[in-house]
Amino acid sequence: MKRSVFLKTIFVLATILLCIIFLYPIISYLLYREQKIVKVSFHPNERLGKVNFKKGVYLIKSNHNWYALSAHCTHLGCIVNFDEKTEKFHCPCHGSVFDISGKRVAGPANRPLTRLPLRFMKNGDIIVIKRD
Amino acid sequence: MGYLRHYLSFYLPRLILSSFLICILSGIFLTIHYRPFGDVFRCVEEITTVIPYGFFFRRLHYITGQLFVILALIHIGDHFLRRTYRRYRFRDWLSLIASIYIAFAIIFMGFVLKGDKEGIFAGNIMLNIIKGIPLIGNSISDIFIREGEDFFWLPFLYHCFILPLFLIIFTRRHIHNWLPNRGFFLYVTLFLSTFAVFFKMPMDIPPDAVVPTVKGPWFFLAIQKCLTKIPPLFAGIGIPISFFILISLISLSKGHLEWFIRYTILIFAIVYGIITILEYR
Ligand code: FES
Repeated sequence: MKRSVFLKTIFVLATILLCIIFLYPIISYLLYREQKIVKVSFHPNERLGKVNFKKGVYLIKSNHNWYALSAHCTHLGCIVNFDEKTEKFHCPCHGSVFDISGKRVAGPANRPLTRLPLRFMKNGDIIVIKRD
Repeated sequence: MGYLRHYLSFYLPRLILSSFLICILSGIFLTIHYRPFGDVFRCVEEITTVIPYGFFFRRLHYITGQLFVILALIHIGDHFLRRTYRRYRFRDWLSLIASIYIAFAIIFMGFVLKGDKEGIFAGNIMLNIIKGIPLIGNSISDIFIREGEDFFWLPFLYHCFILPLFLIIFTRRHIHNWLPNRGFFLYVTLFLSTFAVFFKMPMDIPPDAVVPTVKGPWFFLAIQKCLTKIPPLFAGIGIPISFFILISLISLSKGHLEWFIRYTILIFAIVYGIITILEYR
């Protein structure tokens, strides 16, 4: 290999290395994010109906059990509305429909609404846990 | 026809730049009271209904922003039909096309910053479309918008600082001939300010109101329609990028290829326009 070609290759490699060295901290800085857990608490007065809504969460009573669904549509994240007559969730953005258990019935979404874990507190509150 | 063409070439660029300048000025007034944290909707409503003349600055900002992109589109359409892209170097043409995309991104972020139901949903849709990009989507979405308390912070930075800065950098060589003189700028400001006093803005929808349908900004309506039928990655990213590539390549192409790209763009624009009008009604 000629000397000049060799030097040129070394120069290009060094530049690439330098770019990576600079880019890495920039990208890590930009992408840093703290995972936050959000707790949405339902006081007995806030869950008088069969389907109760608070802060992006639906808390639903079925027989004597409770379960919680994220209100964010699994298509692109709009908040779904609950229609009491049909007992279905309707997304106002692109028309996805889910039944009361969260199962997708129609529209562009292809996953059911996300089930969220619950915690029953001694004071009667039900806490729904979701990630931000 | 010749008169109209003369009018378009002389007044249109000056009008576009005047709208842009007034938009920046009214935006500076709005940022003084706007807070991208906490109850953003309430803050916007306060600016509109409580703070003296807040409604005026908001309307002026809205009108000039919309006018800026609509006139810029007409300007591009005019040059496209006259085939002036042949005169541009590829690099310059590319930065001009990038600028119109940046302008739309600024308006989109502004739409999110309203903090009402439509704004929040538009933000969520943007976030989830970016998240849907394979492998890198989850990471890069964090650069544009984040869930939780900081939801409005990044759109605020992009809308007020980052994107306008890029817009100016990309168009700086193009616009320096067209800056309006003081008299022209003053008349446009007077006219648009008077218009803003009487103009009725679209209503804001409170975030917890239940409404059957929620619509995005007017230029996004056709994509919103496509999102009901085709996967988000194609509708939300594929369509805008393909259009960008097509319109950029036209300045490089010649002969049959130019003819082909030209008609593809025209058909695409007409179909997009028709869907937008149908969805807007
Ligand atoms: S976000 Fe619900 S259908 Fe698209």
